[in-house]
Amino acid sequence: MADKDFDFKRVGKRMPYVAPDGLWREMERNVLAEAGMVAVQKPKVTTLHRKHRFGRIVGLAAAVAAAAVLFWGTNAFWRQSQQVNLGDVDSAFGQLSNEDQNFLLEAYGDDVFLNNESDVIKM
Amino acid sequence: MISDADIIRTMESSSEQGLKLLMWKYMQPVYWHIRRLVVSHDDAQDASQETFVRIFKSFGSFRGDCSLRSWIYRIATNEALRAIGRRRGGSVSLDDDSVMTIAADEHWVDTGDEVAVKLQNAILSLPKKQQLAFSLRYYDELSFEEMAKVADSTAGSMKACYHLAKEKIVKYIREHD
Repeated sequence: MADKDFDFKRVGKRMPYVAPDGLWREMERNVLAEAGMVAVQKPKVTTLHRKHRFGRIVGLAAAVAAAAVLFWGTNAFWRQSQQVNLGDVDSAFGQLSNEDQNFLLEAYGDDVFLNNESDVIKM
Repeated sequence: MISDADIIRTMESSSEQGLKLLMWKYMQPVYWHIRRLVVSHDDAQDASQETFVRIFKSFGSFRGDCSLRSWIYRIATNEALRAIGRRRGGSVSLDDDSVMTIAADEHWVDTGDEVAVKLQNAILSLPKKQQLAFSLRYYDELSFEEMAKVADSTAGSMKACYHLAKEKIVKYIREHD
């Protein structure tokens, strides 16, 4: 028999062919992409996420900007209105009689909030 | 080991999970089957990938009149022949009897394993149908009935092809010692 000349068991199923590392994973990825399962779906999901993330960043930036403008505007208005109000108070105080002025000074001279108010405005 | 019946059931309920199971079981056997026929790693990878894409796309036409394994190897063999044809700029069939050989500068080949190289060159010297018969029987251990389904032939013919191939391989090795 011809088998006696060459013993197939010497080689068995061994082959000289080599497969690169990571070949099976790469092939699976390529097949799934070609079948429309990974490459088509993943980028769509990624794109949506990116859009959402971008939208969130823009929204957050707009909110911060709006808050800054509102704070600055309110603060400026408040300072201005405080100055106007204090002027009015001074002029009203000047129109009071000496007795009334003395009464108010005695009654509110030690009031912590009234006396510190000017400091708060300065800040 | 997952059964072919499980793969078929899974393919029918979830094609993505089914395809993953199918690749998990058949990725390596299909690659090596094609590699033995085409030699080039790049061609084998392309043809293997194309095999699984075709399996996925035409799974609806699998009627179960042969084993899933036979059906997969049939598609893989067709892809391998197509890859060889692309290299040559023409079509190649199982009737092709042109001799192939492993080039000395072939990538992804361990040329240091002389006995293994010689056996593969002996196989590559055979007509395609005998190559196929030897490869399916010796490496993949298909039954002659399954082999017949792959080659669109008869079990008797495949048995004859296999034994003839074996004799020719022994003769080739003796002559190239």
